[in-house]
Amino acid sequence: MTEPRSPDPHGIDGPIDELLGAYALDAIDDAERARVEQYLAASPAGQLEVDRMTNAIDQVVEAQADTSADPSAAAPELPTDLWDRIADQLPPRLERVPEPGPAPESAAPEPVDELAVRRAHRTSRTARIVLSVAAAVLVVALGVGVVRRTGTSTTTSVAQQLEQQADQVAGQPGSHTATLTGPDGAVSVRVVIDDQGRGYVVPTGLPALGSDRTYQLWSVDGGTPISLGLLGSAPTIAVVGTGGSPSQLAITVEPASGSTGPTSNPVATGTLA
Amino acid sequence: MDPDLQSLNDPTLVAAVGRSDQLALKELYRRHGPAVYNLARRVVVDADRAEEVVQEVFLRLWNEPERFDGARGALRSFLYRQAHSRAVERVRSEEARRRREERHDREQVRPDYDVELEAWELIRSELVKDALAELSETEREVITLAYFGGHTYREVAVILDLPEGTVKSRIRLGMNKLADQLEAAGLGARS
Repeated sequence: MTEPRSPDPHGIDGPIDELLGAYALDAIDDAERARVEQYLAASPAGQLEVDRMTNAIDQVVEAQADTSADPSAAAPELPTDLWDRIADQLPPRLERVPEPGPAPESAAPEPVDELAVRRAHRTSRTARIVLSVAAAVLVVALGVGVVRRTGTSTTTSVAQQLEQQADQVAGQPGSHTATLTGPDGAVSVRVVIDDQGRGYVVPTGLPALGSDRTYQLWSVDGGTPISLGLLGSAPTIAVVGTGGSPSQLAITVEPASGSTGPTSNPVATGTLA
Repeated sequence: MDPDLQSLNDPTLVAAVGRSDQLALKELYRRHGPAVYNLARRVVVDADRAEEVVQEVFLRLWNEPERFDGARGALRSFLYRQAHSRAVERVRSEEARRRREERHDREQVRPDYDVELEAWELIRSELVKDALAELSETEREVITLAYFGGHTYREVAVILDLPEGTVKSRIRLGMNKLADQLEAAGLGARS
């Protein structure tokens, strides 16, 4: 092993982009990481290269965890009491989400400062971490939360909370809203995007699909569709990261795993205001 | 296990975690905990330390859910980044301690490599196996030591008795080759 060396501000260790592979594998020291991230902030091509390499190592890790082809070669088993140990360290809950069962007619709205209060309880158990992220180049297709409005479950509580949140966001400066409609007028999808790019999708009238299909939300600005997420086969509310402020939106029906580009005509389209 | 929460996808559950929903965190742990633990075990080997990594990852998700930006990628990848960083912290601090206490030399470090190589043998996906097969032995070697061994490229250079520049280049070349192969197999980063 060598002793750590001081950072090289003059680049005598070679071009900074030679470090991109080691950066993607988290195999550099803190000083080098800072240099690389400064470089990536101004280099979309470099960031794209890192994103590709990061995805590649994720695929390798995922393939190791996949024991579907050979169940006898199971991955190390997660200790059964580990969740309990995690739960024991969580701060006390300030608002109880109902267990599955009959729900009240109207859920009590969450206190406005609930999150701030909760965060005041944060422990210092989690240590500092240096996140190896920089400006994103790709808008990656996302899994998007889909909530059934059963009226009798924990999920309903989450749906109600998210709808309330969407209503609040719609009234805030910097937010954008749209109503996507289908050709026959039977489908209406409300989309609210906050100033951070988080989108709330509340569809009405989208018919349920078979389990092998999903609705998928797209940004179609500039003629090149970019996936904003999968909405599931029977969506009624969803949260999606848009990565910015798209303008033209469309929803299509795609295979359950999603598509990299639309493979069918839109069932609803609209423009964000 | 809450059957209704299973219908929610990750970004919505993270949003619920941001609203102090422990059941949402538990569902995310159910989905991703085993994979996070698997990666942690590959890097730190020791079960107790791997469990510490898992705890830290999910406590951090609870405390700072806003760090996950759904527009930048899948939650699983985000958790892998977190877990790997935590695991590497442990490996490197342990390495430093061992160096201080035992003055390990290169020959004593080298046998770890055989253990780390087993990481490749656990891969079940034929697509990923095929992609890895396109790498040279030396490329697989440096990537394995760096990622699953938790070593910096400088440490890898010492372990393999190679110039640091060679290791840097070899890692980059190998990772780009792997990315190319996976993209060709339909496993690329989605754009």
